[in-house]
Amino acid sequence: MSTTTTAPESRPLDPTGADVWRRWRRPLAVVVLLLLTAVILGIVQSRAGRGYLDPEGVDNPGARALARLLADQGVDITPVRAGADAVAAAGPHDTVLVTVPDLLTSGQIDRLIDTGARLVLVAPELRVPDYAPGLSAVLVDEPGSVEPGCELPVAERAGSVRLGGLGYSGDVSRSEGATCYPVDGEPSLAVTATEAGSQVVLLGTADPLTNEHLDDDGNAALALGLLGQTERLVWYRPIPEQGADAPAAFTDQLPGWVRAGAWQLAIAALLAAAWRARRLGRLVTEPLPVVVRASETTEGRARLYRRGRSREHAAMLLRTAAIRRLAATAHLHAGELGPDAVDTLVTTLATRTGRPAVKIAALLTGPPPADDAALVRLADDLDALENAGVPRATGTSPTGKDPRPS
Amino acid sequence: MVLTGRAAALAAIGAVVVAAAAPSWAGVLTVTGFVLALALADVVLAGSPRALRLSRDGDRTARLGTSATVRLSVRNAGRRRVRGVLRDAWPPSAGAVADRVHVGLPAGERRLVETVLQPTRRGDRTADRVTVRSLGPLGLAGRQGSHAVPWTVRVLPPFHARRHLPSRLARLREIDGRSAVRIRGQGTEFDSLREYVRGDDVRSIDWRATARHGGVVVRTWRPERDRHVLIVLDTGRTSAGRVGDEPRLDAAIDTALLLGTLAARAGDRVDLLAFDRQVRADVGRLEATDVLRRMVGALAVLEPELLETDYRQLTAEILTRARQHALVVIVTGLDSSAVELGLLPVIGRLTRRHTVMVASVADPRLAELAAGRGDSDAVYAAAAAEHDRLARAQLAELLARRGAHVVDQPPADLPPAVADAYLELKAAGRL
Repeated sequence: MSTTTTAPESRPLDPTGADVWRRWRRPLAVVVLLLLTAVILGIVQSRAGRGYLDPEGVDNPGARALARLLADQGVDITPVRAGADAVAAAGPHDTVLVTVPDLLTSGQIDRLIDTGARLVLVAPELRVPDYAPGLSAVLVDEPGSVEPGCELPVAERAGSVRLGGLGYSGDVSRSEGATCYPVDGEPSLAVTATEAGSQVVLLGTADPLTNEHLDDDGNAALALGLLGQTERLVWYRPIPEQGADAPAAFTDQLPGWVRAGAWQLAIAALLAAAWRARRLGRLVTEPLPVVVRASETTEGRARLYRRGRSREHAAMLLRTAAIRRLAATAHLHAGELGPDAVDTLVTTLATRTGRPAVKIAALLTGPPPADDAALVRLADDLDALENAGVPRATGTSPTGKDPRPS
Repeated sequence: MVLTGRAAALAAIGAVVVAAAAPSWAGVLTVTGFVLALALADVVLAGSPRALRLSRDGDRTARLGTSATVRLSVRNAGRRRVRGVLRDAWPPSAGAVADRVHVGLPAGERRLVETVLQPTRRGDRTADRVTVRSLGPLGLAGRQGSHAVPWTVRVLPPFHARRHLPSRLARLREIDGRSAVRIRGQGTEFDSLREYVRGDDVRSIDWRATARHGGVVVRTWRPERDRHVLIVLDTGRTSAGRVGDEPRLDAAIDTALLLGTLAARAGDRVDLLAFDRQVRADVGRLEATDVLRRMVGALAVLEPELLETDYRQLTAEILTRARQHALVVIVTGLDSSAVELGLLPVIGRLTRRHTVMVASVADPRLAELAAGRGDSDAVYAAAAAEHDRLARAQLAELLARRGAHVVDQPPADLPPAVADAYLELKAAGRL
């Protein structure tokens, strides 16, 4: 039952290098274009403002103007972001400008002070005692033009500058410091010493250093005076860092060979994933036939009868079916089963089985069963009657095949 | 490009090397780079699956229940040896016994790969792709490629009912008179006149011809031949219902095959029509020698449609196909609503011109349910089953009253029952 023929040769389905190139060149062009745009935008963006007191920032809160002035004066500026870098860069003869002193942890502050460098702090508030013992910050008026009001040479040279925001109260006499530019009675520039003895300058606001206000009043003179005192200036713009005092991560405590081995194992796992992920050819699909049992409606109807407890209906159906089968054995035409025919059938069955005709009539045409148990009994009684009523010779049983095709 | 487990294993062994000898990033990079370089070399050295030339031959058809063998000829037209795995992908119901084989094919050589199919369903089974994974000499990595090598195996209906054929053919010969018993009566037609030989039935003497001829002449008779039998399969939603493990349609196909074969042997003209809302299969003018092959081919791809059959249109189709008197056998399921609303109103138009037989696939499950006793659930189910049986019986009576012959039997018994009904009609000369 088979015919043998030969088909033409196959064609490969996988794309060649040229196909891949043809297919991907457009998406690739789009990606390259996007990257180029991003790079150009980034370059443009980097020329614009980048942040608060950024030595390269050209917008209002930036400080490029000041950085240029300092560079012109021969000050070597080292911009740093990390605390460790600042500590490494600073020496006893350098000045460290800390733009956000409150971001530093106590440990970082201690290490910074230990370098012995001169510190210029911009608007320290909460951490003031850590830097300058004996001083504390108080809120004062918003920045405005203020007279020096002290003997500090730098301040005297600068004259009136824009200060305010925070004032520093406390005693600076211990370190032969100075307090200048009082706002609301509290100095917003304080010069004192750290615990290690190096000089620390507290500035109530960043305004005199910013591009926006550098050319007002004596701001530039003050800024140059404060920051240009040493040859090197470490421009430290802190970023939030986890303190070195925090316990080291678990992975850092592992021996080096375990980490390296684990990484290599991870790579092996990746390779294994790549090995298992690649199918040997695609999945083959096929439409499946519908699976509906032909008896489904019958079973559904049975559930309906059961839920509705429709005993009357069920009994009527069982009796009708039994009467049809019995009538067929009694050679009565099932189609003409009127009440008379049922009476005839009852008589025939009574003579054939020897049972009382009244009982047979009650079974076949009696009232519907009162409960489910009665229904079950009725079904059994009908079976018994059929068994007795059907002559053995024809050999039909109620559970077997019918004399009539269903 | 594909990687194998060996590459992963090598990288895992590399973890020991890294941990013991060079526990650093540099060590990890060196080992991984080494593994990848080896894999890359393997890819480069692997034979190209693209360079393979594949072609098929083998079985185009298989009877359901038997197996088919499709041979795949693989020729390596490339310069390198192709060593690896080949997968000849078939749909699940094609029942490919082993669809993956190892191949080792030197350049320029050809090899045959045999795929044995044991289909589990009737219909056309089309081969999917052939995929070859070719590994390099180290077995770390390789290349993979697929080929489209089209091939279709038509899975034919099993024709279980063929075992009933010999006994029915014997009965046909009895009717035909080719066997010893020769009955003269209704259902035979005049064949020819010949001279009387001793032993002839004196009742068959044709006196008029005898007078004209001078010698004694008898008439000979033969059964009706060259009658038209039109088998109509209902492929609508009633044919989709499963009886036992098969849809009704499969039993209907078996019935059609048995009847078609028998009728063609009997010298009748057999046409076949499958219909729901449109013609799904139409085989006409079947030659006796060819009938089984053509019917099987047309019926193999038949699938039940989930549509209500349009009996009005079906009647029109039947009437255009059978202009002369014919035996129209409609194989369907006596599903009360579908037949009551569809077939019953139009059956009269058919019975007026043709002898109509309605063959219905009954569900033995109904009898099973009807015999249920013991608790209330079973008795309610029995009542529901009796309801459906009564409805079917009434429907059969209605159809019979309109002149149709109704055969309602479970799937296994239907084909012989229909064949017997056909033989009875033939013997009675009612075709």
